[in-house]
Amino acid sequence: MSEIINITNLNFHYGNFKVLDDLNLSVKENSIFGFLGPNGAGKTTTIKILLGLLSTPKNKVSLFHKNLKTDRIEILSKVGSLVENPSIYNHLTAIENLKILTTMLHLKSSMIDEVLKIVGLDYIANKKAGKFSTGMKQRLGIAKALISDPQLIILDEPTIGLDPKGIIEIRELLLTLNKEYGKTIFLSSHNLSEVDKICDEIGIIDNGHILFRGTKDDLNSYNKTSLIIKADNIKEVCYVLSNTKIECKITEDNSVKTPFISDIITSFLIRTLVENDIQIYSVEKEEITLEELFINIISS
Amino acid sequence: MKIFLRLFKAEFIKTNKTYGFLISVLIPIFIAILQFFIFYIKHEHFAKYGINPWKVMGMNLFSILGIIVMPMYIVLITYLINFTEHQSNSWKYLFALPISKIKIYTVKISMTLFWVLVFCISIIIFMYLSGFLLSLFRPDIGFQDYNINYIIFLSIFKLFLSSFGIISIQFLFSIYWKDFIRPVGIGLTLTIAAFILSSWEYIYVLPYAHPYSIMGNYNEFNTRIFTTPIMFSLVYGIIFFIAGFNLILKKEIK
Repeated sequence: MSEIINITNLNFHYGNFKVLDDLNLSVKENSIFGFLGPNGAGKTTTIKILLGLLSTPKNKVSLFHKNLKTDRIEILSKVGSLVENPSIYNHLTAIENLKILTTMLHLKSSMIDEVLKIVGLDYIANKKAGKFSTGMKQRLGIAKALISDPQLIILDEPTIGLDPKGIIEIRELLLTLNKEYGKTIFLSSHNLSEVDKICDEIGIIDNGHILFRGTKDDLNSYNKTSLIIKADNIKEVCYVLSNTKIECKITEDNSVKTPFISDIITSFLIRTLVENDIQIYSVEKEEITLEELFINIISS
Repeated sequence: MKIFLRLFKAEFIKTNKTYGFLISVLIPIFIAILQFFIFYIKHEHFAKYGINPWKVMGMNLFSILGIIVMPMYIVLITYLINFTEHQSNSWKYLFALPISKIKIYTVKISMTLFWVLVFCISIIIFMYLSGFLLSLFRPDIGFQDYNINYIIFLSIFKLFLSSFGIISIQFLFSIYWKDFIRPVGIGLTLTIAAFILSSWEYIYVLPYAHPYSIMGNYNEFNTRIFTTPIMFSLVYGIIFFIAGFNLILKKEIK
């Protein structure tokens, strides 16, 4: 697969404040690339640069093997985007919002129905966008990004402000767009589990600097998930686990924390504890936070 | 040209459901209703002295338009056109489309000119409607006996030309500032300043005084089209159009 986005040694400042520090990034065609980082890490700035909204030096950013500085219009004709909050005219209906785009970009009107169906807004197409919920607005924003049938879709925190149902819907929509429609998706997020669920490749940025770049499997080597065991006798749990050479510690809320190794090992642990007459109340996987992941990456 | 028409149509979809359309038509209707009642109530005065009522109506209309209504209408319409983008956070989206910034800017300012033209045409239509109704209900005033169509059409055309400077300046303000207070506040202040300084011999340097300049001295209609204030209005229009474009060109979405 060829690379569709290429950023080379890019530095960017807002006044004296350095936002991007020697940034290098590449995204493969037909992939879902997750751009992960905490708030203020430089994700949105990178996206704005990719869309030509912020000025950058020549030969630092290329999309579709073209220089963004010199071939901006040609590049943007292949890109659909949603940056921060969706740009929606509240006084117009969903159809009218999209009609503006089909008129401007000389697209077929049938695209409006098509994208509204894809994002699941076809049943309220004639409702004023101002009356939409946050999730609906977000989906209309994605519909705007899709209207020109772009090869590359750039989405900045598309699930922000959505309820769990909305997050799942957007996640499924992005997977469909990638698998069925062959779209390359560049997705920024500060949610590790979300990126982990749908992305093929992941880049992690902090303080404008890329900390990690690689596949999901590469990232999982840093992703030290734990098991939290609640039982009637936690000291006994620790004693049994120590005998099986498994590291464990008692947490403040009277449970036992032990590293998650695999599902088979988890099953073996539970069986061993039960055989030792320990009553197990619950065994849960504890997802690592983004901050913990950063610490793991930096420390390794 | 095809691209321009497409972009213009898209811009029209955006603005025709805002208050822009309403103020472009409602202000002329309101003025025409006022004119109707003034003439209706004071009909004896016009009948007695045999005054050309169209001329009086035109003088009143263009004076009030030039002093306050036209500058304030431009202040509001330029604000409304750019507010649509500010409110919906759409500048970033517009600039990420495969369309050059000069086209986006030119279409937006053309849309402003379009609404100003709609406003001018509405003024004429409702003025004639008011005069027509008066000729039916108060024939003693004599609206049916006089005709100054040439002067009226010439004056409205000059009013349109005299607005170019204010349009470009206010357009620049309303792109630069997202809020209502600064562009509208500055526009209002400069309109009042133009009124206060109206007797100054170099008043034509102030664009906000240009609409009033379509009247000649001693409140007579001036039939010359390219008067000094109108030339200044066109020059200001061009200068601030270029300045506004430079602003758009350098506008970064932070």
